[in-house]
Amino acid sequence: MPRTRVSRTGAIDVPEMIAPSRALTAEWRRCPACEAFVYYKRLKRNLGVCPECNHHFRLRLRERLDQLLDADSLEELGAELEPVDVLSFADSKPYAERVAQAQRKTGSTSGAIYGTGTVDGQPLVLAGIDFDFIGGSMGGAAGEAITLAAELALDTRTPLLVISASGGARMQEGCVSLMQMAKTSQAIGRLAEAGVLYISLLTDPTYGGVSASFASLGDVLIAEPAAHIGFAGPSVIEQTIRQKLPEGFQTAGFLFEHGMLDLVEPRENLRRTIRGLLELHASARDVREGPAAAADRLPKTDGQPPTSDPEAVARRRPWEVVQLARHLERPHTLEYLGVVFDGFQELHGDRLFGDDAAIVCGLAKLGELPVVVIGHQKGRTTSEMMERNFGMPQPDGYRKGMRLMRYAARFGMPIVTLVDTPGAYPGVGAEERGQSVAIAESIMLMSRLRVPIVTLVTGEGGSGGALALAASDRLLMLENSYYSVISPEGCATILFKDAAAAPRAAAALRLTAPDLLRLRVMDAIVPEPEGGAHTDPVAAAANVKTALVESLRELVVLDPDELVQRRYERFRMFGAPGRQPVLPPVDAIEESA
Amino acid sequence: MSADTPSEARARFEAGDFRGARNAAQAGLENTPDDPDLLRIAGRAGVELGDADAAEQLRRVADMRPDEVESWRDLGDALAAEGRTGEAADAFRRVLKLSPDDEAALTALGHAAYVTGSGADAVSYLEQAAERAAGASTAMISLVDMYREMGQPVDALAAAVKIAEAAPTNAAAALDVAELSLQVERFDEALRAFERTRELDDVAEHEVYALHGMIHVEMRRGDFERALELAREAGGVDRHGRTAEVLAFLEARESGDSGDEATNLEEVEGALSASLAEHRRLHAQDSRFEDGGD
Ligand SMILES: [Zn+2]
Repeated sequence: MPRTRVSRTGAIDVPEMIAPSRALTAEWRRCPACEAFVYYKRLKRNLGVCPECNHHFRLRLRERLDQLLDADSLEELGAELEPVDVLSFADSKPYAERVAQAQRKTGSTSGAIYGTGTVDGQPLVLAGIDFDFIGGSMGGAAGEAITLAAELALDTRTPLLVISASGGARMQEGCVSLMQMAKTSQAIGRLAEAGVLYISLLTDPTYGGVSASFASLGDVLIAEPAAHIGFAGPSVIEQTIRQKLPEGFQTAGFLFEHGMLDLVEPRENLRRTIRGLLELHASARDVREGPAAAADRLPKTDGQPPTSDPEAVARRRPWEVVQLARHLERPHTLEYLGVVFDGFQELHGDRLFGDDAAIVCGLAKLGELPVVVIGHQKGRTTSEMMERNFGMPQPDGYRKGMRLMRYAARFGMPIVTLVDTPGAYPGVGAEERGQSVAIAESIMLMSRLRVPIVTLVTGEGGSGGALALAASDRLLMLENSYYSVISPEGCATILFKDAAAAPRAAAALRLTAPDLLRLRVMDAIVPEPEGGAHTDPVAAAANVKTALVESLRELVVLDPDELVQRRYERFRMFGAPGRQPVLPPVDAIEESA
Repeated sequence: MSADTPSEARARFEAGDFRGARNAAQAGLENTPDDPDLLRIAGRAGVELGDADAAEQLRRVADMRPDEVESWRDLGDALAAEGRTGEAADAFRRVLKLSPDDEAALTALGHAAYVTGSGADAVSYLEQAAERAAGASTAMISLVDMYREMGQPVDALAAAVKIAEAAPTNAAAALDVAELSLQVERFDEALRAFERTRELDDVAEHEVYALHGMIHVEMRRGDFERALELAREAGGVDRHGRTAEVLAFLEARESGDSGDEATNLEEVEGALSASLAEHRRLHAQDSRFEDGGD
């Protein structure tokens, strides 16, 4: 009896969900998800999204391009591309016949499109695979379209958008098809090295050799809700593990939760999202390659300037500072992002395991200067605090941050980090996934990045969990924030053998901004409104903006070699004999707290 | 406004340049804001472009020219495009008053009736629409599903056959015929239709589904020998082991080893039905919202 033959490569596994389209013209369409009959023009007006249940109908590639690109902006290239029957392959039908049938059905010669176009005037190079052409499987012609597009994007330094929908590699072209994975991936690799933006839009369904090559290699990975994306098809997996798969398995939401996608966007948002990314990157390119100097793009600010005089700020007991730093209403990263920066586009996921909500990252503009922002995020409501794990990151959070740091370096964008964490999360899963490794790698990565990095401690600077985002060129602290090797409570328990001695420990640890300024751990204090940042968040944000702009203004003019060398020296001095300042004993006022 | 503005707008509309048509018509309306011809073209183009005021423009035309069928048909179209199904039905009823055979109106009223829960009315309208249209009309396509839901597989089959005749290269249409023929036990017809899906389905991996259908037919009419042959063939193209159970059952039966009741006939038929349902689901899921190319 024939045994189940399960493909273990997945790469040559065309999943079972692929089917030819019904392709009958009808003025009323039936939604495959909710079975509602929907008037065709209503569906079209709704971009092919069911108005009853929000099901995203699959789009033909042409229709997708019509939705995304400016009218009449598409310039098609690659008319000469056509599948080649390299193996003289035949199953129940000769491959050549299948190709001819697909060509008749789709009106496409190659089964793929490549060319140029614009989105709101922003130029891009684009490529796409037509799912209606033999299940969108990737043979030589489709691989060629993707590769030529990537090469054109590289030559012209124009952002690349690739739209995927595919069952995987094309079996009928054998190993030549498999090699398309390598061919396309290496072309994308060159783009990444050259710092040319690549946006990958993964549509329903994207599998096998396509998902396991160029489609997953975007600087930004975007998918529509409920799109199915995976390596092996679900029934291959079910047959292998002999278990029924859970609802929602391999949907965009599932992948997003597991850190594999930057964004899951409803169809109506796609054009706007892509346009935003293109605009931001166009500015970054202008700064990097050309006419605009970064310093000129920084905004004018009117906040109270930072100070490097430890005596210039209100004198508070360290324990009081700790309480203010932890105040439940204190502004957090997302609040500063909304006020200090413009056009924040959050990007998600570490592409390894998850999307840790305790760290938020993304692209934004500071004035007209594109930057990458990475910050700890605590919650405000109980459920939000739980979701954000009280601002205590898992390794996945740091890995997401590192992904965005590399992104910044690739595109020459300065990095701003906002630190506010009690510490990295002490948990079993965190240890299993390498909390120490993640923190260590983040520190090392930051120390060598060839773009300016400014860190602001906005609240709690909890030890290694804080430093993982703070190995930067400038360390700023809000007046009522603290930065410490251990929490005062932890120190009190261990060294003072008394948890109630936390206020004493807080004083002994010298964790306030003025003391850390004296120790040269940090560079400047950002003043807060009199009662603390939470009493007037807008004023606090204005001061934050002024301080960040001032630091960046000094850093963006530096040559990357010098930047990295200065950063090295900055951390090299700590504890070095003769270079490390030493503090006098804690005075009586602080001790008595 | 130049004298030929309406004809220019109309020409653009007919050429599919909806933006150009709308702009030309709107330009003309600045001088003659109540010109029904210009309003009609602006409104029609607006429907295609998703303009918010298209329905309003077309309602004004209907008010000015209530005796023209087009006026109400356009208005119904615009309202349906906005999802205002009830109001659209009112407009289409006006169409029927003026032109009782109007296919678009009958089709729209059929779907509107279905949406409001009156299945019998829906079928009645759609049957009338289908009679007046040739081949694979919207009405006929929807009737297949509606009959099926109302427990009228013979009628569903008749409708499916007409669609398959009108769209002879469409695998999904052939699949409907196959499934419904099996259901009403017209085995020869079912077998032919499954063979046709095997031929038409351009996804090689779907061959196994067609074979499962053929096995199912042979089992139902008691030709277990042929069923076993087909099952062996299916096993050869089946990459996911869906045929294993069926094949084991048929081989055991062949060798007279009926003592093994691990897999009984009912289970095997269940598996084959599931395979068929899966195939249908895949085709439904794959439906695009744009006009197809077949
Ligand atoms: Zn729906």
